[in-house]
Amino acid sequence: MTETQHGEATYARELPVGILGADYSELRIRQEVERGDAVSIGQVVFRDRKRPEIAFVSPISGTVGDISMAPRRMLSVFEILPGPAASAEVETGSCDDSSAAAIRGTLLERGLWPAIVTRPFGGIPDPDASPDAIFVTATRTSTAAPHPANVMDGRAADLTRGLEVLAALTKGHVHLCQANGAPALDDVPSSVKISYFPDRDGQGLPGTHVHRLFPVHSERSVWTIGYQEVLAIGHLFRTGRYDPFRSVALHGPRCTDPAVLRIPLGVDLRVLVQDRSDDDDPPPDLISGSELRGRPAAYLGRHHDEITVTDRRRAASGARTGAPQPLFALSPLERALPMNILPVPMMRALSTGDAETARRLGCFELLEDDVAPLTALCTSGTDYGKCLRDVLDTLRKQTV
Amino acid sequence: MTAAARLLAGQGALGMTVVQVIALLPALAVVLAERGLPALWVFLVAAAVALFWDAVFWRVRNGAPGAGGITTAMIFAVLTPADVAVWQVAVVVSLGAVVGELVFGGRGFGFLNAAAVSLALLLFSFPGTALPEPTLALALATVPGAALLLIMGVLSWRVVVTSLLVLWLAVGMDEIVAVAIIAAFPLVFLVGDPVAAASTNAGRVAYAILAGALIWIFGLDVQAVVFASLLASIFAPLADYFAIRANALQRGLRHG
Repeated sequence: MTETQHGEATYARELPVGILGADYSELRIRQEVERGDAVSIGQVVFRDRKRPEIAFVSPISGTVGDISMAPRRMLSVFEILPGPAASAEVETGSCDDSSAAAIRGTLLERGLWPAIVTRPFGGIPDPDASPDAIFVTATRTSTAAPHPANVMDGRAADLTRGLEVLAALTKGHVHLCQANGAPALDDVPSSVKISYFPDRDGQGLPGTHVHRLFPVHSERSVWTIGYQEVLAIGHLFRTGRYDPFRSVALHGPRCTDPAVLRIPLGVDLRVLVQDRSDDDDPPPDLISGSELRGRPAAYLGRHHDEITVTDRRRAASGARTGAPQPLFALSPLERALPMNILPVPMMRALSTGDAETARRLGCFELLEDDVAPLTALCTSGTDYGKCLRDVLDTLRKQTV
Repeated sequence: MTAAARLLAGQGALGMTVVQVIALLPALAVVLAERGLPALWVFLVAAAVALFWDAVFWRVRNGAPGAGGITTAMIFAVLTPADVAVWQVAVVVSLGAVVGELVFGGRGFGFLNAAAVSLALLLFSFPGTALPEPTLALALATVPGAALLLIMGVLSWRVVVTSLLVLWLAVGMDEIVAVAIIAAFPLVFLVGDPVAAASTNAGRVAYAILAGALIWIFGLDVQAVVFASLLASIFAPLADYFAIRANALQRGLRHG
């Protein structure tokens, strides 16, 4: 392990990684490599079956491990074990950025397209889609996440290049969303609009930024992307190299040594945490993301920049008895959504699957992360993220 | 406040019942001390009847076991005169629990407060019954319960403060303290019940204005608060409806 500036530690030891279907809604894959094949960093391992232009690349060099599927032939985990690389490195040299189409093709083929989330509905945008705006989330999505200013420090060239690339993908604006008081960035392209948000929970979420600056509805779509992915895009276009490393905060009540680590995308959390602890305590619960918005997981999620090490979560009584539990209109729910959406009517619409009412109440502005506080507060123990996904899928089928 | 409210997450009606019982204990203790054994009888009969109906509906509907009847009985016992006949208590609490709450699926699924329905039935069905005027001790005993409910997010300050403001505007500075002492307990536990109240902030304010105005119109006594809470809770969904319409209109204008 080597210490870098701001106390970040880059992981030298090779860790297994997994590419998770849960990070992308409805992902069915077409494999490019088989179990046991050797792969190198940045090599295409599989593609989206419906939209084969969208490639997924390996974050590490090694061999392909288990490939497990969820129901309906959705990808569950695509595991890659560390080992010797297949070849030195896939494609180096600068990338073609002569035209918007070339930029698009590079992002698709080099595995950075899946970093983008489209709104409304979520998921990876279509290869030929053109958003009305792009939002770069350079804020902390929870107060335990790494400080973006520290992560971006010294990488101005990557950021500038990444923002220029994004600007070629939209006719609208690229919005760079930062926390209040964040240090000014050098060389941000003049077409990029910088906005500032309070460094509070909920205010750092892309959903909040989009709501404030350019709210989406059925006729308007935007893309959101994390700042670390923009750095990786800039790095790719500058050097021709795929950068799989992200700065991730390891923390939580059961975490013995909180730290910010530079680790590859999709890293195996059990191995990582085991590696860092020296006692034989029962294995803790690992959450990819924050305690509030994350999910229990064995691998780091693509859009997560923190790992929470915690104790077993309480089982909800509603889940225990199986009987429907009531939703009480508790007043803290009114502050749970940092946008002008009425929480209790929205919860009622979502829990009953009333897509039409949810649409009128503004559910196009929401994704699963945004409604996590409703799940955390509701007396009924309902998973509103899951309800919202069902409602959005229903509405998407209606609009297509 | 959010951290305290998270204790109720996933706990369903049972968690809510536990909090409300704790909040009601001081008030019930004061009433039992003031009115003695007959008040205890009223409470025990009301509790037995309400819990019996909870159990019946639990078995018949295969729902989650609920003990919401205990809070219905506590509120009822605090507000009911101790000299009411036992069979009258059994009849009105049965009807109140079943019609006001259980037919909708139990606590949290309806829009009425079962104790308010029971009390209204008592006053309607047995003319001449008058609810005892709450004492200063009862009003003071309401305060810790109200504080707990506020911290847990069960009680909305908007409802309580708006109702009191309306009453203050109606009766003026001189009388507001006397009115507040009378109204404190039913205002917190009947008007402030999250099931009976509106469920949007704008709706809550409208609901509380209506409740406050009705208390004034109905005569500023305990009966007035009971009937006002019942009538206002019938209009609470309407208040929410308009709050939702206004919100949708705002969104439409923003999106152009």
